[in-house]
Amino acid sequence: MWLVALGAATPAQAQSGSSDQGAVPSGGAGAVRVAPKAAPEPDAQPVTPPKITHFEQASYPAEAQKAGLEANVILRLDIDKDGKVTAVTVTEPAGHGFDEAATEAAKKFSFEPARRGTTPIAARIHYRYGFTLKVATPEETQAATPPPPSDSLRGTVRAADADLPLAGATIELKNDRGEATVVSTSVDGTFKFAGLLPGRYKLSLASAGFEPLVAEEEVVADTVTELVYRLKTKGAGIEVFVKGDRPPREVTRRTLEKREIERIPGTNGDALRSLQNLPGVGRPPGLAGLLIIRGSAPQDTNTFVDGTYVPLVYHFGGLSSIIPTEMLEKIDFYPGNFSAQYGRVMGGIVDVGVRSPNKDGKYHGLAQIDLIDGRLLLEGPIPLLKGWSFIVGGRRSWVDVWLKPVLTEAGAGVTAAPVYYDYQAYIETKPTSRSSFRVGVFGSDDRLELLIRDPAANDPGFGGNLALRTGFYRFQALYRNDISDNLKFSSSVSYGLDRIDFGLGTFFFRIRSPVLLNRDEISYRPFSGLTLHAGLDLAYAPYEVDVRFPPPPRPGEPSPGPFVSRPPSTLHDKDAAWRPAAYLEAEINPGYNLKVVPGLRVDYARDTGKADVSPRINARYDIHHDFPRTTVKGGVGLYYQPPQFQETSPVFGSRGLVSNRATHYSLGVEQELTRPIDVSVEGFYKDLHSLVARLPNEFGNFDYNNLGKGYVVGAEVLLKYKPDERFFGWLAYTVSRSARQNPPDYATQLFQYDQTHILTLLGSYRLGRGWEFGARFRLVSGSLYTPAVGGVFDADAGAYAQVSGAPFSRRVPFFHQLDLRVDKQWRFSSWTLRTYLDVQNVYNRSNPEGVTYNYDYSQSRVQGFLPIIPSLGVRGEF
Amino acid sequence: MRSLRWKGMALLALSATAALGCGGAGFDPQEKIKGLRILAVEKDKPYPAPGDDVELKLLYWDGKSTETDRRKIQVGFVTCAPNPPADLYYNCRPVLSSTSLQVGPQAAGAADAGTDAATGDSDADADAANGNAGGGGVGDSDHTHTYRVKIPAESDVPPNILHKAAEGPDYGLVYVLYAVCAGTLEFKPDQRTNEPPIGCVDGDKKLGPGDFVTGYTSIYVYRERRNANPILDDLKLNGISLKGSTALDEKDLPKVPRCKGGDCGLDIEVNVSEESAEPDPSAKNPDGRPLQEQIWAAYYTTSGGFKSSLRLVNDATTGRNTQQSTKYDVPSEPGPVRIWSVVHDNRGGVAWIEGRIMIVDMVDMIADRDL
Repeated sequence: MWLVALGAATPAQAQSGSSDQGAVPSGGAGAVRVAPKAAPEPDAQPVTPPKITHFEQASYPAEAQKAGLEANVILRLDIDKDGKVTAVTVTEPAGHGFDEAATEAAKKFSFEPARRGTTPIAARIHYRYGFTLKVATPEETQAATPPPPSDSLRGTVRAADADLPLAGATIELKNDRGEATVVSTSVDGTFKFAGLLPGRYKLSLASAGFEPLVAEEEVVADTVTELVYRLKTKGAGIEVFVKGDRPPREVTRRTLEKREIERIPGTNGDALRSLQNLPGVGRPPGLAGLLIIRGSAPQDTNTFVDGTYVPLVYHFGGLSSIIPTEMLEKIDFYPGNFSAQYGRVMGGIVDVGVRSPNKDGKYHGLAQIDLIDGRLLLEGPIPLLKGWSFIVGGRRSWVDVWLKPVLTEAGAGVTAAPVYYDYQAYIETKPTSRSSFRVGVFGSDDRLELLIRDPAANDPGFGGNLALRTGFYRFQALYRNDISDNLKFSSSVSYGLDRIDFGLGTFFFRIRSPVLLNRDEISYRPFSGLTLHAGLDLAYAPYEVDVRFPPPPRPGEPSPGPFVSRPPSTLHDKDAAWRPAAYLEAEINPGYNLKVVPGLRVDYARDTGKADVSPRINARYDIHHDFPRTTVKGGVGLYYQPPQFQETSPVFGSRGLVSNRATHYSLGVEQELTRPIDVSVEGFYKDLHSLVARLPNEFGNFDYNNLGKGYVVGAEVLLKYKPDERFFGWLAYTVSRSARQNPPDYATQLFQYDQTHILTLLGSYRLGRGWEFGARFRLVSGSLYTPAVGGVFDADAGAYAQVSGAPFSRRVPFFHQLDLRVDKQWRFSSWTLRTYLDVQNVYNRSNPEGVTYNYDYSQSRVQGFLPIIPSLGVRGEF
Repeated sequence: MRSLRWKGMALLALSATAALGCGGAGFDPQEKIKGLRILAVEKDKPYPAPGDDVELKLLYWDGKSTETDRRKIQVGFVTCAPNPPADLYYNCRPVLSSTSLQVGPQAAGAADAGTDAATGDSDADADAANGNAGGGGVGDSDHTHTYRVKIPAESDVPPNILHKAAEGPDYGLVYVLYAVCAGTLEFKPDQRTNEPPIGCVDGDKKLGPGDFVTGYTSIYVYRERRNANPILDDLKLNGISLKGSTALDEKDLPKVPRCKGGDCGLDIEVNVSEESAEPDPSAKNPDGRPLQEQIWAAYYTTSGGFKSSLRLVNDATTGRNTQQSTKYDVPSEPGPVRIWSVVHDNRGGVAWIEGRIMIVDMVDMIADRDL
């Protein structure tokens, strides 16, 4: 009779849960994956699971024994802090008297209680009580077959207490027809099964001196399921499953776990700001929330929430993300060579996944306040709707409370002090075990209104009434169905509104745009080694726009002088943007160590009237398949980005433009160094063609063309210590050069966002007793700027126009900054309290963000920006 | 959808421009005139019609001169050919020639300037159609200069002065470049930046900020659209009118006790007639509500300073700013001081008013007149 106690999730649950949430690849540089709620609390002190001290033998049900029946009963045991079993619940019954026998026996178990640090705590565990008529005997059996062509299931067996690999452990794998394959672990504790058909398997694991283990695993087509089993010495019985993920369809998909997102110093736990610590991501100036990916402009990167495009990423351009970290399941970040499922941009992709509501049948909540905002979150089951659960959250900034008197004191008339809101509400269910359905709404709203009585000295047009309101909302429905092991379908539909109301003096910009978005993908695996993905990506956005603004200069153009002295161009336009796209992508696994992903995407843009065809191909090859894994990867592909609104506008732009075009090349290697440490090195090159540029015409405006060119070349390194119970951290370094060549002279000039060196070193360590300490250091090349070589007096404005030197020919000094963070958590019986102190720019360096000039541009100095900024937050959670 | 992103970038860029573009502590303040400065160019017709004559009056001041010892200042003008590409002032350079720079008589004191003011008007006329300037204008005081531009009449033969706008009435644009120089002006056609092609030398020495200023003003031409300059009624310091004070002898100037520390700010405000805020027929907000002109006042002085050197007078949306006064920070050094307020509207309208005061020790003030 086997006795196995499981961790918080059974293998089957882990599999299906992951599937529901969408598998998030992580290989090497991997995907962003937020640990599921059931995983150990990232900020907790080390938890020692309960150890059984008295085992009660159940009586074998006579009827079942007579009938020759065997069974496993899954029990949920509540164990108090004295180690007594206070409740037994059958979560997976077996019938035939097994459930009752197991329950009675389990009630008589005794445990050494679980501990957090040294403090005994109550615990709930899943326990598998196995009934078998035959005691399995571990056999030292070698795999009888030669090395198989591919690995379907592989992993490592380790001793839980010492965390050492276990050699010679026996693993028996049975399919649903009872056919068994037996292997044993090698000296490094690893094992593998190859050539398995998709389906569910029973895995039995045994090693002398250790508790045997039985688990059910699912083999998914074209997926290598990677497992780590930790065997307890006899008398214990908690195990932890770690499921490997499918290799990505992209060359690179970066991974951050939730603990990392929350604890990176200097980010205040902000989800999207944490991305700025990854290689290939530039440092935006000051508090700006710009995503500068591999030398591309911020507008070359799109951000999605569960596949739905969102127009804004940050409140007020950088104050905080529009979705709080607590709502997140994952963030997928693709710095280049992304899959054909994404398009319309030449830079990168950020796809934020909102997490599912907690499904443990209880209600949970959270309240947090810091110096910027306060937030609430509540989740749990929906009464009277069996199988449905909800999660709802909201956030409001309260900077208006203290900023209004500051602004008033500074002489501004404050009609509405700056304030932002965001909100998220979802309900979710699983119609079947293989499908999930979620509907919800999320949105963001920022607003302020001031009367600026002191116009700006360099452009007095920037004065008077300043009104700003930006916002959007999306109603969203997500459906996913793994129809069979070979056929899967997912769909998202959203409808919402984007709006901007901006007015300053006599200038304004207003847009209303209802947005209808739809993404569908069907995946089919006709045979082993090939999976086909076909998808639609539809975007329809009627819009009404009112603009009154002089045409602003483009990056690198000489200053046209103060805005106020030029009569603004006005535009009232009502039209619709229609951008459908379709794609086809194949995942080809010709061998166990090679994956090739060719894809083709076709985009149509109504505003240009043209279709763009984007072939792409990515590949990964494992030079060394087992630990320490060595993988080379690479890709090449075409990426199109339609012109910006103002570039095709009848007033501000020109007709006849085509999309900007970029060819992405990348080549890299991923290397496991130790179990927790790996390194990835990747070189990239982006050849930019047909970039929209402009030349002045004789009619007071500009003629836009596609004559711009450019390139970005660089390399990035990520040396990462993956999160464990104590520590996480990494070193990220990027070297790159981003240049552009524009008509009429096509002189090569550095691009506005070029940053030659970007170095980030960070780490966070749990000290115990609820304390955690983190530090981050950044060293980044200074921002480029166009020097002023003089000034010309604009008599109409009463201000000077800058006489510009060579565009982006100067760089401010290096940026370097140290940030520290301390967290402290207290756990109470039914809730936790957490505080943090996040200190940015600890040594108070006046980091240069640009160059400021006097009124006539005859004097200049490098302008420091943010001083030391401490931020304090408090969160209560139940 | 993409528009929001573009707009976000634009807002951020504007914010960054406003934050980093200019100003900041540690620099010479804009309002304090320490060297040669141009303060304003007033056009008698901010929006002329084709064929109109436009008179430009340039106001400058040399902070390196004293009331009694003035440097000789040379003033030059260049009229560009109409309608430069993209309406950009620096695009007028290609049509210039070496004869384009017309240098007016040097002003070196009120008496001399008065003599030079007799220069014939016809020589000062510029023919904007050919990209040539007329004479260098006339020096009509010791720190103003007048120049006239002839706007081409409409023609059936291209290029017409007026061309179609993407939206709104047909318009034309003539830029006038100008320079003031405490040396000798020279034409520099090989400038490679967006700097006007004018230089200033003193012998072999190239003069720069403080001794040499270049600038431009734009003349937008419409068939029917007109604009008037702001109307300034007075300039008041602590309620005392400074209007007409420039004509007073020093002994008769309003006296202000010099600052000996502490708060030495006095209320100062230019009185702008309410009718100055004209409706802007080209401007309606997205809801269709008409907008007024945006009007602001800039303050300058030869000594002391201002709490705010630019103040909003009228907002296009909310109307008149009821808190438009600012503080004049009285200097600690006794002596005569000039104060200007230059008032602009956002359609090329400009007007200024000038005042003089005498900073004195308290004893002098008690003995004489007060403020």
